[in-house]
Amino acid sequence: MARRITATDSADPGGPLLEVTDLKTHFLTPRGRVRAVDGVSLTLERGRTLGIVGESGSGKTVLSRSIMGLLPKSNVERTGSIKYEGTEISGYSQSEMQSVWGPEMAMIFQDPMTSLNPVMKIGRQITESLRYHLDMDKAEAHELAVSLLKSVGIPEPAKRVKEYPHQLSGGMRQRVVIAIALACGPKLLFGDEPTTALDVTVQAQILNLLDAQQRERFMAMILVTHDLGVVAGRAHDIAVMYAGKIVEKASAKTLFSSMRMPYTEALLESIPKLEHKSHTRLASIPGRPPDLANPPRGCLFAPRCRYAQPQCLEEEPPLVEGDTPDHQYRCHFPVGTPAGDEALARNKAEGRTIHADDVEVDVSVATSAPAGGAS
Amino acid sequence: MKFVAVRAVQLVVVLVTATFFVFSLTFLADGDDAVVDSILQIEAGSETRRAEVEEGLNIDDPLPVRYVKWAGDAVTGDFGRSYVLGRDVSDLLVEPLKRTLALVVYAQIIAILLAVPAGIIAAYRANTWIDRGVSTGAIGLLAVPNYVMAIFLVFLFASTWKVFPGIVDSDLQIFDFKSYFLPSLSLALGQVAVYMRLLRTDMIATLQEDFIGMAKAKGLTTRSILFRHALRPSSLSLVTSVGLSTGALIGGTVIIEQIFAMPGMGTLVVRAIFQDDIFVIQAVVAVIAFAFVLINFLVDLFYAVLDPRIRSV
Amino acid sequence: MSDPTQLTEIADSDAESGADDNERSAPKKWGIGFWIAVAWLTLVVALSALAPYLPFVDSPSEFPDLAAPSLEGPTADHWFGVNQNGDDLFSQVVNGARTSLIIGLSVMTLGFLIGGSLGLIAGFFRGKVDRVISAVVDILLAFPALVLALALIGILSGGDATLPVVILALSLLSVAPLARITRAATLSFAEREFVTAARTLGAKNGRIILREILPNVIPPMAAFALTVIALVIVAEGALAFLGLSVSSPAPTWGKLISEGRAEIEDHGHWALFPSGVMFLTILALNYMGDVLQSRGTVREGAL
Repeated sequence: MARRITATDSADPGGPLLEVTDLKTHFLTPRGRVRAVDGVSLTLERGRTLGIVGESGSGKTVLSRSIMGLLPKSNVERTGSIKYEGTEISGYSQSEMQSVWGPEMAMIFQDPMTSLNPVMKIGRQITESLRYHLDMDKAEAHELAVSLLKSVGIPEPAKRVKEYPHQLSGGMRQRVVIAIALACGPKLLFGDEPTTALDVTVQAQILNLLDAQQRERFMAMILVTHDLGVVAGRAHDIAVMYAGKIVEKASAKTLFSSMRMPYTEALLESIPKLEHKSHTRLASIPGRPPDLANPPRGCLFAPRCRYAQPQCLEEEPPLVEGDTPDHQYRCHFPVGTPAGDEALARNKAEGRTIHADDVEVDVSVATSAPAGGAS
Repeated sequence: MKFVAVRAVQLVVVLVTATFFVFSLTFLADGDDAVVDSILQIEAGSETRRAEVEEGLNIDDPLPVRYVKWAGDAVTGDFGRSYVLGRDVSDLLVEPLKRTLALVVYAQIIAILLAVPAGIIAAYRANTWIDRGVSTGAIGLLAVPNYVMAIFLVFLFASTWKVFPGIVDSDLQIFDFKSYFLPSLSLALGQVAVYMRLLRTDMIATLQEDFIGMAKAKGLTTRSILFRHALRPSSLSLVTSVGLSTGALIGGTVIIEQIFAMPGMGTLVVRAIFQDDIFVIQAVVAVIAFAFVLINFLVDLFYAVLDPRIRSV
Repeated sequence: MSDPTQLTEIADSDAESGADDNERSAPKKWGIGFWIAVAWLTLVVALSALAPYLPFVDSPSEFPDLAAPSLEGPTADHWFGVNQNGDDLFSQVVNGARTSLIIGLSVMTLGFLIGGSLGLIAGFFRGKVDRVISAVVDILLAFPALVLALALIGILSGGDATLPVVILALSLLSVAPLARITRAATLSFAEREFVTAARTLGAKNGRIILREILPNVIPPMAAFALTVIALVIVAEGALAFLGLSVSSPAPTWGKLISEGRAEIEDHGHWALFPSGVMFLTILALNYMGDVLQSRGTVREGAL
C-alpha cells in the first residue's frame, strides 16, 4: 500500500524540504535534443513559497513536472539530483513515485476546465486518493471530501460532491482541483499557472485561497507563472527562468528592489500597472525565446536584450552571486550597475535597441533552419 | 431527453423505409400477376384459389395502401402465411430470431472483451513494439472475411482438435455456449479489430488530457488511471461503433449460419429467396430492421450513462 | 511515446506562441508496406486483365475435363493444384479475380457517382437538402446492407443472379459511405478562402462545385474508395458463398472458397489458395486506404 516517506526516513530531518541540484531535462525529438531544463539548482524550505517566473517556453512547466517526476519516460532524459526530505528521489520508479504523489507532493494544473475528469463525480475524484493513500473507508473519505470542499470555499459542499465538473463554473472547478491536491495533506504543492485560465476577478480569490491554505498547513509551495504580478507579495523567493535556465534568483524583496537581469526587468515592464492610464501600450519583450534544440552561442537572452554587447553573443555569463546573500544572476552587464548603465547608454547612442527585431530575425532563421531543412 | 425523441423518430423512419422498400420491390419487380402466379405455382393450387390469393395480398389496393395493411398486420405479429411451408410466418420466425440475436449478442460480447484490453494496452504503450504488434494483428484480422475465418476456425477447432462442434444441432438452444463458440468467434474477430483501433485512437487522445495528468499526480495506480479515468471518456466512439456494426453483424450471421448449419434468420431468408417465399423475405427484413432499430436505440440511451454531460442537454 | 508531436507538446506545454510547428509539414515516407501492397494489387490487376492472353491461364469452361487429375495439390503444371473437376486452380483464382475486380470497380464507380453527387450536394447546399440526404445516408449506412442486398437479389432474380443485378445490389454497400465522406470533405472545403473568392467573383454554384470543390474532394474519396472495394469483394464473396452471386462459368473467389470448404480436411489447397489470395488483396486494399487516408487532409471535424 501507500508507503509514506516520513521524517525518520530522511538523512537530515532538519534540512531543506526540497533540494534540486543541476537538474537537466532534455527531450529527444526528431529535431534533436531539446534542452527544456538545463542545469537548474534550487532549494526550498518547509512552509515557504518559491515563485518560478518565465515566458511561455522558458521551461518552467517542464521544470515543475520534472521535479515531480510526471514526465513520460521514453525520449526524456533527466539527470541531476532531486532530494526530498534528504532522500534522493530522482531514481524512483513510477510505482515508488505513486506513494510520493498525493501525500507528499501534489500539483494544481493550469486549466480547471480540462483537469477534472468530465465523467466522474466531484466527490469521487477527491475520495479516490484518500481511499488509496490514506486507507480511509467510504464514509470517512466522503466526510473529509465535504470538509475539504468547504475549506476551499465551495458553498453547499454536501450537494457538490454528487455533481459533475460541467455543473460548476471555472473558478469553482479550480477550487475543486485545489481540494483534490490538498486532500492527502501534501508537504509540497506545485501550482502550474493555477490562475492563468481564470477571470481576473477570480484570480485573486484563488491566489488568496492558496495563500491561506499554505499558511494553515505549513506547506511549501512552488508557484509557476508567466506573471511577476502573481508572485509579487506571495512568494518568499523568486526564480526567473529563461530558455531552460535560472537567470536570476533572489528573495522577492531583493528581486523587486534591485533586479540585475535585463530579462527580469523586461518581464516586470510587461505587467500592467494601476498607475498606467488605460490603453497604455504595454512594453512587450521583442522576439521569441531561442530554439532549445539549437541554442545560440553566448547569453541566450542576448538577441533580445537592450543591454547586449558583442561579448554577450560570444560568452555565456555564469550564475554569479549578487550583493546580498541568496541573490544570483547571469549577466555580463547587470541592470543597475555601472557596467549595465554603460552598455545601455552605448546601445542607445548607436540606436541599437530599436533594432531588437532585426536581431530576432537572425534567431528565427536559426530556429527554423534545421526543421525547414527536414521538410 | 430531446435527443431521445429525435432518435426515436429517426429510427422509426429507418424501419418504415426499409420495410416499404422491400415490400414494394416484391410487387414492382415482377408485377402483381407474376407474384400471384408464382404463389399458385408453388402451392400447386388451381386457378380457383387465385381470387383467394389476390385478396390475401390486397392486390386491388394501390401499393401504399397495401403496405399500410401489411404493416398493420405485421405490428400485431401477423406476417401472413408461407405458401411454401404452409405455416404462419410468425411461427417460423420465433426460434430462428432468438438464435440469430443470441449469435449477434455473443459475437459483440466476445469482440468487446477482446478489444478493450487490446485497445487499452496499445494506447498505453503507443508506438512501442506491443502497440505495433497489436495494431498489425488488427489490420490482419480486418482482412479476413468472416466466412474465411469460420472455415479456418472449423478446420482448427472442429476437424483437427475436435473441441467445438463445426455444425450445430438443428434445434440449437441459445444457451448452448459450446455450439455457439465457433460461430460467435468467427463473427467477432473482425469486429475486434474495428473496436480495438477505435478505442486505441480515442484512448491515446484521452491520455493526453490534463485530467489524466492530474490522476497520475494523485498517485493512483496505472491500472486505476487506465480503467477508471481513461476508459469511460474514451469509449463513446466504441459504443457508437458497436451500435452501427450491429447491422454488419446481422448481415454476417446469414453466411455464418450457412457454414454452421444454424437454423437462424439467415438460413430462413436464404431458403425463402431460393423458393420465392415472399412473405418470409418481407418478414425477415422487417424483423431484422426492428431488431436493429431497437439495438441502436439502446445504444443511444447508453451514451447518457457514459457521459453525464449528455444527460443535461 | 516516441510520437514527436507529443514530446514537443510537452516541451512547449506552456508555450501558446511556441516555436513554429514544423513537424506537421515534415514529409512521411510511404513505407515498404505500402509499396508491397501496390505491387501485389498491380500483379492481381495485371493478371486478371491479361488472363485471356496468358498461356498459363486456362479460360473457364462449363464442362469438367475428365482426363485431368482430380483434387491434386500444387505441382509444377498446376501451381495452386487442381479441383475435383480437374480444373487448374490458379487459372480459376485468376478468373475469379476478374469477376471480383469487375464487380468491385463497378460498385465503387456507382458509389462514386451516386454517393459522391449526394455528398457534394448535401455538403455544398446544406440546410434542408443536407438534412434529408444525411438522414437517408444514415439509414443506409446503418441498416444491415447485406440483408437488403440479399433481399434485392432474391426478389429481382431469385437464385439466378446476373452481373448487373449483383452490382446493383452491392451498390447498397458503397453509396452511403462515399456520400458521407464526400459530404464531410465538401463541408470543410466549401468554407475555404478560394471558394469564397470564387463566389465573390460571381461564379455559379455548378462551376464552383466542379472547378473548386470537386478536385479537392476527389483525393479523400479515392483513398476511401480502396476500402470500399475491399468491402465489396468480401460481400461478393459472401453472396457467392450463398450461391446468390453471378451464375456463370466464370468462378468468383467466394465460390471457389465455398466449393473448397467441403474438402478442407483432405485437400486443403482448394480453399486455402483462393482464401490466401483474397486475404492478401483485401489486406493490400485496406492498408493502402489506411495510409492514404491518414495522409489525406480531410477528416470529419478535423478542420
